[in-house]
Amino acid sequence: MAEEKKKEAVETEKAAEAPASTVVPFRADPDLDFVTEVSAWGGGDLKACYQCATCAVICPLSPDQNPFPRKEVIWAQWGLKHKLAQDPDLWLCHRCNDCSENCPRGAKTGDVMAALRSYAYQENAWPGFLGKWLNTPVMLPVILAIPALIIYGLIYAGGTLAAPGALNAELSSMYWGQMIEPWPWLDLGFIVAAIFACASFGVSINKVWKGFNNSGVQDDVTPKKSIVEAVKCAVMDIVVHRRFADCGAAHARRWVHMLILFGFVGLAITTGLVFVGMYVFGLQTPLPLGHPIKLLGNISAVTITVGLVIAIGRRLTPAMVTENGRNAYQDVLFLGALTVVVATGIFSEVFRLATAHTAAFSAYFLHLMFVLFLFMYAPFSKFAHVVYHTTAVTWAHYVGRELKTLAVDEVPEAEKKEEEAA
Amino acid sequence: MDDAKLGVYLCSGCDIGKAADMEALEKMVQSEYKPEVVRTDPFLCGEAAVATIKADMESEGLNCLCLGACSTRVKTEAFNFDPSVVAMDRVSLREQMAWVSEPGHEDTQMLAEDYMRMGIVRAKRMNLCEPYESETVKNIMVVGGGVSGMTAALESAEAGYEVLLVEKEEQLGGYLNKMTRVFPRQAPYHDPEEPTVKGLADRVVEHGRISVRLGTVVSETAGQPGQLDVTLNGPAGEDKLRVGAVVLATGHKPYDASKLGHLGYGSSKNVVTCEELEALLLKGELVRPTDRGAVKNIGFILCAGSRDPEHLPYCSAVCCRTALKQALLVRQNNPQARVYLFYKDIRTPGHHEAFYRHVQTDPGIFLTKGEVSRVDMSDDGVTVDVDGTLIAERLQVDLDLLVLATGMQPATLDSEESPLNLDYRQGPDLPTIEHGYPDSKFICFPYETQRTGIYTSGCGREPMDSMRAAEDGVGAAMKAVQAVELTDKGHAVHPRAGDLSFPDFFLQRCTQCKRCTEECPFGALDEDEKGTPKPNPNRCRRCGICMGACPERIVSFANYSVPMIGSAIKEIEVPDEDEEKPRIIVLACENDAIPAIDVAAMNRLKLSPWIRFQWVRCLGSMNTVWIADALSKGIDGILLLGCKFGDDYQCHFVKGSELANYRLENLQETLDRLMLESDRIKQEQVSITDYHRVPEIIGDFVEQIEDLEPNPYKGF
Repeated sequence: MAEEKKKEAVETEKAAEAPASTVVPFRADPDLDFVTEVSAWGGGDLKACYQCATCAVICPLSPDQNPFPRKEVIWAQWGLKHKLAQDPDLWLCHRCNDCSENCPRGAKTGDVMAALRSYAYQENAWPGFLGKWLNTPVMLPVILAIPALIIYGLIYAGGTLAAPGALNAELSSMYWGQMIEPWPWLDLGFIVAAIFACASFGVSINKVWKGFNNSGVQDDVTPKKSIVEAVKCAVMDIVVHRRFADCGAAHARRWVHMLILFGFVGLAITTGLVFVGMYVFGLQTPLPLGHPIKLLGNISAVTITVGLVIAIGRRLTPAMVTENGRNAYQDVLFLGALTVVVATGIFSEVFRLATAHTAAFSAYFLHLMFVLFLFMYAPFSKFAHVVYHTTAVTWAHYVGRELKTLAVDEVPEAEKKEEEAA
Repeated sequence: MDDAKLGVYLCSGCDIGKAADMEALEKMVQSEYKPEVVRTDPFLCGEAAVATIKADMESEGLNCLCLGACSTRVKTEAFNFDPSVVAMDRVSLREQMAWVSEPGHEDTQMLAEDYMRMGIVRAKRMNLCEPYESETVKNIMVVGGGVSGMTAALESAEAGYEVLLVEKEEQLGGYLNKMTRVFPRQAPYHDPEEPTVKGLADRVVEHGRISVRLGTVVSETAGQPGQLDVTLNGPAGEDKLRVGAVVLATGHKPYDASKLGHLGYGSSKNVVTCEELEALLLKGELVRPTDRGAVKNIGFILCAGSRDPEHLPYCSAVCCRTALKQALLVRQNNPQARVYLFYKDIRTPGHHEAFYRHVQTDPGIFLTKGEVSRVDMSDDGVTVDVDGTLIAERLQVDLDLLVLATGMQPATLDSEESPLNLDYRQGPDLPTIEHGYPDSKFICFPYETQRTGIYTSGCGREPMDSMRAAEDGVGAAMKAVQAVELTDKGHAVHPRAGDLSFPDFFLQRCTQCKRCTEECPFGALDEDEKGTPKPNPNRCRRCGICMGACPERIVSFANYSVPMIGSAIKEIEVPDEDEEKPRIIVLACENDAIPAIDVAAMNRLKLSPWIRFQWVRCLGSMNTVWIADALSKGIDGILLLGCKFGDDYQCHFVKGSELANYRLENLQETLDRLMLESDRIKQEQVSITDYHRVPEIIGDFVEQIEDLEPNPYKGF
């Protein structure tokens, strides 16, 4: 009996010891050049961090379990690229820059997170080389030339490249069709680009979703709700910018972002309606100014323009550099492309109405080119944040990575209850 | 004083005149003590009043003054009378009566009267001070030729003193000779600098007032400051010299890494200490010690054996910066190297925060907080597990070389050779407080040891970097200069700097009990074979602990003695029992308690009118006979107010308050004999910053006494 008991005791002891010895060591093999790369993407102050955790504490969005952004900064300091590529928290950050404002070391944590997202676009991109191209300023002429050549080629291959001077301006109802003969060809081009982008995104989403589960930032990754429910929650979050609302330093950006997002969505819907209208219902373009679809398009254009003007204005204000973050290459590229798309779109319409044909044609050509640019490069540029962010928020809802949502004054109440219970 | 010609001066300024009836007070003084002169002035510290005092001294031949004005801690310039010409007692009417009591009250008047009585009796009991004069020398011996010792030598020499610099090794420079680079010393504090120790050594050697003795040790130090006879043992044999004071700059030794087996030291040559790495860097061959392979991955464990109760419990202040410096040097050596720092906390004081920031920017230096849990050896290197990092619960890194940033210990610790070999009754070494560092009380008195005239500087005093060690040398040199100058004039050194009194032993009555020679915190007393004390006045700090210790009461100072304080206590008027006015004496240490009381008074905190403060030089100087006398006179309670004692003591004289506490325990017998409650006596600890607690401490004690029956000895 006694021996058995002894045996039991030994076994329990062993069991008690077991968890300690099952810690699997993480073997670090840091990349010596990663810091230089992150600096090139705008996170140049990352080495200043000394891990005080002010950022993780001040961040209104950071979860309690393995909070961000402190761990991301030290991973980056240590050149642990693999960990960063699959980190869901990169995408939960809204870059409100509360962390940068409050960092005692001036590590500009918000900028580091943005730079790490640049890295993640590249790392999670499929095909990978495009990811690299979009992140490398010297490749800019190449990535600009590709959509330009495609548009030019489609027009050329699809028929006569109509010279603007040869147009009959009075046939206003056939305006764009006459100017650029091969409509279906062009549309086919956009459809192919969209399919390519979707496929690329599909690969990437699959990759990061697995990565999120393996990242270790969340101990328990079993589903906490259905995927449909999770998507619904994520979409609701995004529509009202719920998480953005908690941000401090760049609070105004919530509204700016809303203007740009909703303006963009409005324009996308307009385009979709016109497409369906043209091919299914034989709608004639250009639409008269009073047409509801035209109205939606113009209102959306004004909305996004207001948003873009404020956003660019803020980014160009030196005093707001901490609040807004440094303008890294990916920021400039994305905001720039979006602005060119909107501007050329508006100019095309204005010049058309003003019957300034050459200008209208040129603007329209650029418009098409940059729309294609946005579309085909969406998975490799900052545009991809739309997808990665949505995926990450969905994942967070799915596995129950609860984010700090308690208002400050609610905390004592909760503590009180705990005390009462005790 | 036998032929005391007393002058009593009262000040009615600063609210004193509003609190007490000065006319009545003057009348009381006049009728009870019949001084040659008694005057009241509304501005006693003013030039006119001081001139009047001087004129009275001249015309009336006054040799004894009692000034009822403000605290002894203020207006010292105005009342700067020579104690060898006139005995003076200053009664703190302002801080101990006017500012802490109810103005115009009967009890306040009684308080003022008692304080004047006590002061007058003290003044009359004082003798004129005759300074202890001896033939002294003013040269300074510096032991240790490192950066701190050399700086001390240069500074003393530049100040005009002859210096004897003794170095055990064959060359000057000490620890810095082993360094390839030192921490940056100027803005922007980015890059490690070349050590400049050779230049310093050249200046020392070339200086006309410094004589350098290399390869030499001190085999004996005897005598007292101003007359320290040192025996040197060097290449030329033994010789004896006389020096005035000593700066001990013997430096540090690295913590013994062989005790750090758990961090891999000793199991592989690929585990080294910072010192060993520095040697590799100095030689310019940074290779893996086992196979001379390239060092591509190198890790530093900071706080290796530091801030660890099993090893050194303290921070050595430099190891973090040393590791940061070496990390940078390794990277400069090999830009492809990856350097890892595992730390508990990075501590880079002062401007070296900028250095830390700079090192951090290096992309090849990887820092993480964490606890090293395991160090494994492999054929071609070392594998380190670090727990609790932000990177992973357990981080594992493969290294070619592991460096342990070990801490410092004083070189004198557990050393077979004593640096000075003091020929003192209390032993050859300097007493140490914590961790083997010879210290007196660094908060108040940096550089002071418990041996007067001997000052420590540099890493032998506390862990520090070479820049601070140099500054330390300047500080210690200044202390040594003060010591030789004050000693030459027969003055006490810090903290009673300028005091002309010294303990006088009436040896005919000595019973050789050895309490004084054992208890003197500064080893001032030697002994003859029988155990009779042999005083060395120049070693004395004038705390009076010997006076408190002596059961025969044979120790007195010209202006501080057992009968003087005893009579002052006995001079207090004790009202009859039915008056319900208890009387409580507070024996207050002049270093902590009196300043706290003064600050309480400045803040107009009110105190009970039943208490009577009597200052003491140190609670350790309290002779228990005062307590017996007070109780047998009908005093209801006695409170000892002094500084904190124990491990983290605050006593200016090391253990005075602790000794007082110890003596109180022995008082129990006296109380039993008198059939009195032990609650009547209590010791409380205060520091100057505790001034706000003074009313509470005193109030509580007064309440405690009021709860007891009045002292039955009243009226006897």
